[in-house]
Amino acid sequence: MADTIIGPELVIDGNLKSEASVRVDGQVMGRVESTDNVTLSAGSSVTSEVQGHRVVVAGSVAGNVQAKDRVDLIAGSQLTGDVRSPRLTIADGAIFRGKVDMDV
Amino acid sequence: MTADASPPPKMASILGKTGVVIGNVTGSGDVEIRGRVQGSIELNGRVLVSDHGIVQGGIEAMTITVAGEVRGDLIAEDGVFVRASGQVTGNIAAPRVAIEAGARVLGNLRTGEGPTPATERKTGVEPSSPLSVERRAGATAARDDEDSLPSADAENETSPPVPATAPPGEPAATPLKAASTPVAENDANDRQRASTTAELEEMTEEGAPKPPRKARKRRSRERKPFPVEAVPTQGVRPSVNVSSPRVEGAKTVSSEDRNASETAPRIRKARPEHGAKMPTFLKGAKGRQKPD
Repeated sequence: MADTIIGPELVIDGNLKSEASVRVDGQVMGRVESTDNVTLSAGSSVTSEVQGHRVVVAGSVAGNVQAKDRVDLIAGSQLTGDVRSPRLTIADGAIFRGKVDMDV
Repeated sequence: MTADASPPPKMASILGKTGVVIGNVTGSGDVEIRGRVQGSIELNGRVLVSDHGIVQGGIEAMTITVAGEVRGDLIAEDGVFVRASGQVTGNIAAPRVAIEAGARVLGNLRTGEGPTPATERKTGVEPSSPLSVERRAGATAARDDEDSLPSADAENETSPPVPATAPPGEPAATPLKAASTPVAENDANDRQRASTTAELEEMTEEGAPKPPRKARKRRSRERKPFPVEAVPTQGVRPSVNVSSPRVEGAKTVSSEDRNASETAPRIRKARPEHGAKMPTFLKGAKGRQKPD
C-alpha cells in the first residue's frame, strides 16, 4: 500500500511532494513529485508534471511525466504531455499525445 | 488512542510522513496527515493530524483530531479533539472541544451550541473568527438592558473576554472609559459595514450603555451604539483643525489642553472630538475629520 494516498474525492490545489510511494485517486491541481513510485489511478487527474521512480498512469495527466525507471500508460489513461523515461509501455486504449524521450 | 501509536489507517486519504502538500486541500472523505501541509484544509469529512503531522494553515472539517501540530484555526461542525501530543496555535470553534492533558493550545476557544463559523458561512454572513462571533453575541447581550437575560450565545460562551493573540488586551472597561478615539473609529467601520438598516438603526440608538470592549481580531459588524451622550473625561485630544465647523460645536476642550497643544508639536492628524454631535459615519474612512 502506498505511503501517500490521495482519496477519490480529495482535491489538492497545489503541489504534492513525497519521498515515498504515492497513489492518487483524486485530483491534484499541481505537480506530483516523488523519489519513489507514483500511481495515478483511474479517475485521477493531475494537471501538471509527474515525477517518480516508476510512474503508472491510469487516469488523466495534463503535463509531462518523468520517471527514473519506467512509465506505464494503462488502458483508459489520458496523457497530454511529454514522457521522459528509459522504459515506456503504452497499453492498447491509452490516449497519449506528446513527445517521448527515452534517452535518459 | 495513545499518543504514539497511530491507528491503522482506515482513512480514505493519507499524506505520508515524508509527504508535503504546498497548497490547499479540499473535498470530502477522511484524511490523515502524517506529513506536512502548507495550506488550508477544507473538508467534508474527518481530519486527523498525526503525531508528526504539521498543518500550517486552517482546518475546517466535520471532525478534527490533532495529535501533531497545527498553526491555524480549527473549525469543526462536530468536534475538535486535541490529543496530548497535539499542539494548536490558533482559534478553535466547534460544538464539542476536548483537549487532553498535555496538549498545548494557544488561541481562543468557542464551544457549545449556537452559530458556528461554519453555519455562518452557509448563511452568507461574513465568515467570522470565533472571536467575532463571541463578540457579536456579547455585544448583543450587553446592549440589551443589562438586567435582561443574556442571549443563548452569550450563555454558552466559555472563554472570558481576554485576548490571546489579539491586540493589547482590554479588561472589561466601563462605558465611559471605553469612549476613546479608537472606539469611535471602530464605530465608523461598523457603520460602514452594517449591511442592513436594522443593524444601522441599532447602531444609532442613543443612551444605550457601551458594552465592555472585548479583544477584537477583526472589526466586523460590531454593533455598538454611537456614544452621543458620552462626556469625555480623560484623554481628550485637542482638535487641530479649528476652522472646521464640526469642531466649533464642541466646546469641551479645556484651557489646559489648548495651552498644551500650542507648545507641543502637532504630530497627530485631526481626530474627531469626543462629544462631537456629528455622527462619524458620514465622514471619511475611520471617522477621521477631513477639512471640508
